[in-house]
Amino acid sequence: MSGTPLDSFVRRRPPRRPDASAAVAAPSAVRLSIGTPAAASHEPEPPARSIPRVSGTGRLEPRQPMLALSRFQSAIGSLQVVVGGDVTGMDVLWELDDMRQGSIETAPLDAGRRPLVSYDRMPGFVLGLRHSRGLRRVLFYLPSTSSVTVNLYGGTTIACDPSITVLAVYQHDGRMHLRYDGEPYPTLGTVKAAYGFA
Amino acid sequence: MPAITLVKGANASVTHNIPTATTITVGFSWDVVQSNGPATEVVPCAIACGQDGLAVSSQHVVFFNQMLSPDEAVSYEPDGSLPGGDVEQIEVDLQRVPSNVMSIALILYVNPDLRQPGTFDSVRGCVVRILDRAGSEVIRYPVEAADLGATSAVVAGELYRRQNEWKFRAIGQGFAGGVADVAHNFGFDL
Repeated sequence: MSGTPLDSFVRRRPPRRPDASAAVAAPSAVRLSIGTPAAASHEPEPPARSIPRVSGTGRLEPRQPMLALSRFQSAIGSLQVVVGGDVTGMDVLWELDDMRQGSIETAPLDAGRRPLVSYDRMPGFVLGLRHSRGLRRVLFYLPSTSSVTVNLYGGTTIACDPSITVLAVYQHDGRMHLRYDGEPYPTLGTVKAAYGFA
Repeated sequence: MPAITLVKGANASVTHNIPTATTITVGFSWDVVQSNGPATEVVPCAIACGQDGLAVSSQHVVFFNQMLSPDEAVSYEPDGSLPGGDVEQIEVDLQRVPSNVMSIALILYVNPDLRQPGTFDSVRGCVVRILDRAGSEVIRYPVEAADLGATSAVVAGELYRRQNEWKFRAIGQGFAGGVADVAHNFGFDL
């Protein structure tokens, strides 16, 4: 497969797990003097910040602005965003893990020759998940819609509060996180500025 | 020594054919018939199963987005990074497989993208191989295209324990319902 300028993002190897021998060698080379008991190094990692996971049905709203997807939900099939009401001004901003950015009009093709993200007939958008590990974040700008629903393979459905203006999807270490944003962004340019897009 | 080629239903001993190996590579290869539209995207995965034939847990399903089983016995190696030249590979450290894992199912599924996902109808040359660490092919199972047809997932084969040895069985069982059927069959939730 060749030809699309950005399709290398789907061919890049995910990071390999760290070499165990290197991990063991590091502490002996770096001696700290803060007196941490040896046993402390065997303590379990603190629990990750608690972001609710979703299975079956979920809801994104100001009181619960983030949801976490499982590794299966994050990588199998598609993430479908179905909108109702006024679709004027809708757009998508994407950023790959190598920091390349673009909008829906410049979405790269993946190895299956499907755009990373595309318009759907529902109406709404479809984000392909086969190559989700190459993503960093995707922002769905929904300035005038009256309803927004996210559908995942396996039947999980997430209803978003109608006040949502940006549905932000972040990928980190194979897990997708969905975030509610209800700021009244008047233009796509203000969304770009707020999220640090060029 | 030439590789053993299996037909559907046949099996061969991994332990006897790679007597010194503690780690083996499972290689997956296939070709997708090119068309003007979107192409079928095939995804390999391995499911570590218990005595009941079900996945030990959802964390024991190893694929590109969950690259290591909890016991670190099964690992996904992206883009055929091990010797052998396969499209994709999964490495199995047989000595690290815990005693409660009785078999490891080797699956291929079509990613169920909403946009023309396709089926195995457009996949040719589907092969599952067992390789030693040097990349030498020991066992080969060319999955019959006629066994797949319009299905969108297939249990290509399995590694399984038989007394004190590991064996490979060629299965070639297709699932019309794709990865959802696989999850149902092996008892884990997507």
